[in-house]
Amino acid sequence: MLRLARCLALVCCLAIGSVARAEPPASLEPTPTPDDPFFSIGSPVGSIDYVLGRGLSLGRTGLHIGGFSTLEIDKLQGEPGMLELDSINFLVAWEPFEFFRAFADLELGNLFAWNLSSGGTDSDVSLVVERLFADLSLGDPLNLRFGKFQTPVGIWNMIPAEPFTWTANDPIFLETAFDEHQTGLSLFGSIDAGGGGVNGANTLNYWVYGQVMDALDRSEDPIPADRSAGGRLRYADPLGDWAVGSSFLASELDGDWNYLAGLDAFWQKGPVELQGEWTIVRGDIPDRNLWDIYTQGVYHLGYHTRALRGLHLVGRFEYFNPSGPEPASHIGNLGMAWTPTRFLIIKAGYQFTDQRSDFVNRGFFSSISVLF
Amino acid sequence: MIVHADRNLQLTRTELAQIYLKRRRFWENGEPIVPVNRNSVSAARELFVRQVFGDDSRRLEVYWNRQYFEGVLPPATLASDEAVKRFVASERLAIGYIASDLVDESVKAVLRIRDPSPVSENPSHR
Repeated sequence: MLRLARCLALVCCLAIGSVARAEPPASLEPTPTPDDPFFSIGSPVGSIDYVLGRGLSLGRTGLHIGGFSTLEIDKLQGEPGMLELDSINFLVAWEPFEFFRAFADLELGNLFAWNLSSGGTDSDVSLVVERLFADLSLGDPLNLRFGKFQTPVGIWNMIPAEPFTWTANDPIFLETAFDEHQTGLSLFGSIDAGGGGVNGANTLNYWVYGQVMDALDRSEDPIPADRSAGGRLRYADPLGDWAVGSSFLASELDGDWNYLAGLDAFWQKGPVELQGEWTIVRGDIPDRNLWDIYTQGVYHLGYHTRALRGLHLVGRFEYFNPSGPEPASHIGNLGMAWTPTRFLIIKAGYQFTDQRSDFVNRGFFSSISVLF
Repeated sequence: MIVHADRNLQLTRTELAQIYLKRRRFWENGEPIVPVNRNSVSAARELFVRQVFGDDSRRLEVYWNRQYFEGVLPPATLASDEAVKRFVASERLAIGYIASDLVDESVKAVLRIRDPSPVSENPSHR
């Protein structure tokens, strides 16, 4: 009920703010849609437009509602095949002024699971506030974020949701190395860093953040840190064709501390996209210490042949070495990702490993994601 | 490329790309940038994308899908070059693109994008 109350409070704030927003001259107002609307409805606050895969824009209110959902079909070794509609995520953005933005990612989770072997079904619907934050922009170099947000560590955790990744399963280290979210404050921005080539000056992005309050809507497994502080630097080509980054995070749980350090790199050219991350965690919080490296390659088959547009081959190798009695694992993933349209993503792949544990297993992963 | 008549600046093609990717969101004086697109089926949009971002439009789709996770949307669209010109002439924060023969004193042209081969598009990279 508390979660529901929070969400309702958010919606009320958005509605009040929307009404309060100044109304620009209608004849000069650009269509407030990211692209050509699938449908448009006139209203007192301007045109209400829906764009496939980009959500609903509510006229001049600055309010935008969209989301995504994923259907997963997995068959892991020694386990029954499962078909799961794991969640529907609603993305609510409100940008009443150019200097301010509020954003919420509300997840309806555990919607439906079907055991393909026994035929049994399960459902335990829950509402989770995945992210909820407000951004105040003082220019490209300086932005202030307050709320619950993705932990700025590495590449994958910045955009980890199923429709936006190339594989239907994540690198293993994300399960244990650090908390996916922080609740607190973050300063972030980008500055010209010089050193560029024909594309102009390169860019230095930074994030400095801390969990300065109790985690909002905290998960019970794994238990998140009580407090944490971290930073990230990313040096990139001005258009993001390549980037290198480093991350640091110190976390405290029940008086114990541990420390994460990470390096990452990204490169894309033509049909090829490569990325990799190296992460080490050491300290006293149980079950968090590890050493991990992964590298992932993506090849767009449609780059050369229009008939294969949107079809990608994907491969990933990960070395995962947890501390303690669990053995180190070598994990390989081979698969494909197909994006027939920008709002539909179909993925299938097989994971190989030389070890099986609570975190690692061999098997088939697939998913169908829809952006709405 | 056109901006409000009061704005004095020069833009490179890379800066233009950063603005339309929303990687650069503020003018140098700290004011926010309001980029506007033509609708996606227009020839002007097609030329703009090809000349500024290259032939691989799939990468743009991947980019905007990832931005969608953060609730960041592509620039808004307008239905005609005339509408873009009117909007940019009245909104001092705006930037847009129109056919060069429509440019007049109501707006300032800051970059000219030519189509070197308007009929030699290679569709295999789209």
